[in-house]
Amino acid sequence: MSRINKNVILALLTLTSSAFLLFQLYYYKHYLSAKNGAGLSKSKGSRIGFDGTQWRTVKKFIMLTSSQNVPVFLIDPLILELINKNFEQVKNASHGSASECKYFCVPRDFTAFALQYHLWKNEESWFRIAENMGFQCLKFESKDPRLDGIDSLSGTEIPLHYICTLASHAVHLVVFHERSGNYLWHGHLRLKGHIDRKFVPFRKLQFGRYPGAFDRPELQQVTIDGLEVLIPKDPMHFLEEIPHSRFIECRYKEARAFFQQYLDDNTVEAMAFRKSAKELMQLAAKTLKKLGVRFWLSSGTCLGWYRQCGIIPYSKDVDLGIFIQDYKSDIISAFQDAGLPLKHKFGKVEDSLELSFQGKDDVKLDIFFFYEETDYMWNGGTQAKTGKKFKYLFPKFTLCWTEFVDMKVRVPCETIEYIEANYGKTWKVPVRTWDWKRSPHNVQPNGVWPISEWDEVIQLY
Amino acid sequence: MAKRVFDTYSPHEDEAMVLFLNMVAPGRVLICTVKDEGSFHLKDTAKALLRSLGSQAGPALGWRDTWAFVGRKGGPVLGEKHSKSPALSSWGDPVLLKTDVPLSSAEEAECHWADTELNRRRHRFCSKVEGYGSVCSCKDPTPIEFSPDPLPDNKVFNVPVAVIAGNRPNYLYRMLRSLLSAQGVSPQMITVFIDGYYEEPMDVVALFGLRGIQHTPISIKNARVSQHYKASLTATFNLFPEAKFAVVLEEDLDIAVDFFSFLSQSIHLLEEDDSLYCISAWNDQGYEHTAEDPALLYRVETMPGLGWVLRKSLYKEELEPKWPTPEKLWDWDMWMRMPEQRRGRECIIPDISRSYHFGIVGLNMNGYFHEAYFKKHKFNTVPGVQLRNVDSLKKEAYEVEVHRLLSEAEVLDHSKNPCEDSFLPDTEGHTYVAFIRMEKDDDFTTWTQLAKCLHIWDLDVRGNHRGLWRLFRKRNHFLVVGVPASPYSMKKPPSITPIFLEPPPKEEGAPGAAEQT
Repeated sequence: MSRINKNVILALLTLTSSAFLLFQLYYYKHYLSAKNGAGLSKSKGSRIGFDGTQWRTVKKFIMLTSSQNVPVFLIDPLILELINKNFEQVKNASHGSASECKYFCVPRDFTAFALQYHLWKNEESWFRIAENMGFQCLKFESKDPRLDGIDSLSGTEIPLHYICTLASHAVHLVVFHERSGNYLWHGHLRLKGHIDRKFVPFRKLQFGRYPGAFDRPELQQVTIDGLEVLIPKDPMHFLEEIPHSRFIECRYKEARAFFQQYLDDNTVEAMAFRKSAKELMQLAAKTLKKLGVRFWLSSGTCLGWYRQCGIIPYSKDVDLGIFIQDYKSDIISAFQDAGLPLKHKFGKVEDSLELSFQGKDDVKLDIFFFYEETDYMWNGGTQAKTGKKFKYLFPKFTLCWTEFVDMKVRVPCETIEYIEANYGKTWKVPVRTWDWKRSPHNVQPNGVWPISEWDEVIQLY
Repeated sequence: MAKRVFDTYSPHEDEAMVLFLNMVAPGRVLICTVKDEGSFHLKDTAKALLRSLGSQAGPALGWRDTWAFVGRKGGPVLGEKHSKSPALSSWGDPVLLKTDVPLSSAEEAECHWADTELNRRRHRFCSKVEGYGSVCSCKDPTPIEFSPDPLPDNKVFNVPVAVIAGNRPNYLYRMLRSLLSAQGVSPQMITVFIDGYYEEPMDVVALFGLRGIQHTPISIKNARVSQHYKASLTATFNLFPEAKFAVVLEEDLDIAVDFFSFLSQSIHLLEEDDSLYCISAWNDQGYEHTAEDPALLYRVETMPGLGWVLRKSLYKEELEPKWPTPEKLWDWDMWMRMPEQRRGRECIIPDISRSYHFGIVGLNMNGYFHEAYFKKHKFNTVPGVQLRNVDSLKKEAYEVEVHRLLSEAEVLDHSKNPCEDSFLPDTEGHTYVAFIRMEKDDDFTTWTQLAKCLHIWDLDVRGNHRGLWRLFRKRNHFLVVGVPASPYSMKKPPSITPIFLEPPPKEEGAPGAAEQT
């Protein structure tokens, strides 16, 4: 009897203590939040949450930036999401009508702001003043990538990020720089040797893991939680850009090395081709952007970007890639309207689709549609006179932004794998004669179209 | 620290040396020596200065003597050795000088200016560099920040300014001072591009708190300059991708106080008129005796450079893609003036230049060249000039204006010698016209002779607009029309015979006499 009793008593005791612990935990949480609210409600009426460190740090940061004429705008994804959900309310809210801290008090590690660098007049003294206000700031700088063109220039470093903490909350100020191609670029936040890894939870930063590119946002001023901030006029668009904003630079150093070995072609024909190809690319980019269709540089155009940061003069056409799931039926008519008539259409949406449009001065625009398999991608080719089908295999890839001939365009992030799949390991060596049926490294015969389908899958104009 | 070379074998270099030595802070250790020959143009002022430094051999320096000197600015001589050359055809024996230099503590040597951002910059500069005079003066440091009057309705406040520089830091210093004092300047739009990893020019740039970028030099001689221009212009448009224009300046120019005002009033022409190639602040023919009206503008078929505005579309679409490659030893500005590049377009220039070229030392410069063609160039010092009738500089409107001028102009007596002052009556403010012989579009024989005798630019043909030149003589507006090549030839009265000036005979001898038919 006593044994059973002992076990029962042990079990009961454990249960009671756990229950008591749980109760304490629950009550403590409740007690804390009540304390915040209660404390404030005694002195400032019913403004819940405005006493939190996060709100106060953000308020002080906004005070600092507005007094120093630093035109920051809010880019914090968490807060922008909330704003987006209640957009009508936010737009129509008047100053000081907030009764509850709904946005800036959301639990998070950082509050992210952005700044367009060319709008910043007084950089020298800002740092010092921030520190005087109680902020502890870290500055991240690097070489200006805009100086890293074909010529070898070096200047003073440009600021990329500021991380300022005050009372255990951190503000992340992302410095945007404007670049040719009408976009804003921010840099990679690199932790150099001497930086204290525990200064803030760097891993939780929403921006700075990679360099990023964004469309220049129009801004509007709103009042949120009693604070006046600038936000993007279209927060939805900005939020959608974030996961797809990764940017990679063109490899100028390697391009210079390439031109040391293989002198650049500066004949009149080469320059004329480059000019026409650039114009064609701009027109194509504009048209596809209007349709909302993603594309990237493919084949010879991608090789030109990767190998020499320019257009290969003997490449004869402009090659772009589009995922087949992004295909829209009005692509052909949109290009027609833009002055680029359809030259040929091969394949069909279900299989090996390929479009070719005629540009000025005999330059063609080839669009290859990419199909996704379990562990590889492929695009198709068709030989018009025989109906033979070809398949070009690529390892799976994601898309990154880059700058090419004064434009912001996409390329495969995993570029070297993409290039080597297409051109083999000897891609560095210029090859002037190219047979699309045999020369590519990744070409595979893929059967032949049944004659009954030829009318549909082989259309020449 | 500073290192300077003064070629006192050649004229005027000793003046530069005196200037420099006067600018060295007192107490600095001076080390001087002679390379090859340093006495030929070492004149009295320089010798007196050396004497005041305590040198005995310096003031008595002779032909091809060798000399070494260590002393202190304002203090005692620390050591000196001298060796006279035994004969005209040989040099003095080598001298070897060893001295001990007593050092002073850093606190004694440094100045104690108020702790401001500007003075911090000043401190960094003065602890590294020498020869900038009162910038580093303890008691009365010269200001390094300028607050020129703001320019109302400034249309060029966001136009990037590229200063193309090499390794002439004292020139750069002078140029930046005048640039930062110009009304309407936007310091954050200025970028100084230095052709090489030279420290002192970068120090000067940092002193003024401006942006400096160094360029790895490519190629040699004029090709190096041309590659530097290309890299600088491309970088300028990369750093300011929204800009539609860029102002291009050089390190050896004084900038007029109304330089940006001039551009602000005229930049819309470059935007609206496709027949324009550039706007330049420099009038090739604008000398003290041939330029008069600060509110007057001309259209000319040349690209003067020397402070000009480049249209981004012209650079990106036409010039950059075919810029001369590094192995082509061409002058960038001669290349830009070629018909393949200019394609019949013109530049707008002011009658009185808004820049002054003060560089004496350079790749294409020397003392004689400067004296002959640049020293007496007229430079505007009047602030806030309102340009007159700017829209009459557009293509068709300019023709209307020229025709009006020619109709009003009094025809001069063509029997007189056009080179003489008496060719024009002793009036002021009148407009006169003279007709010279110009057989074809490229026949500049008479014009070149006229330019020579009037002491204006005659090395090639500048300043013409469809066979018409405009300048001032004795404060009258003087028009010169080339007949029959110029379309304005029809304004010539039938009784007048165009003046013909024959070039001198090819053999070196007496200068050719002006011949008239």
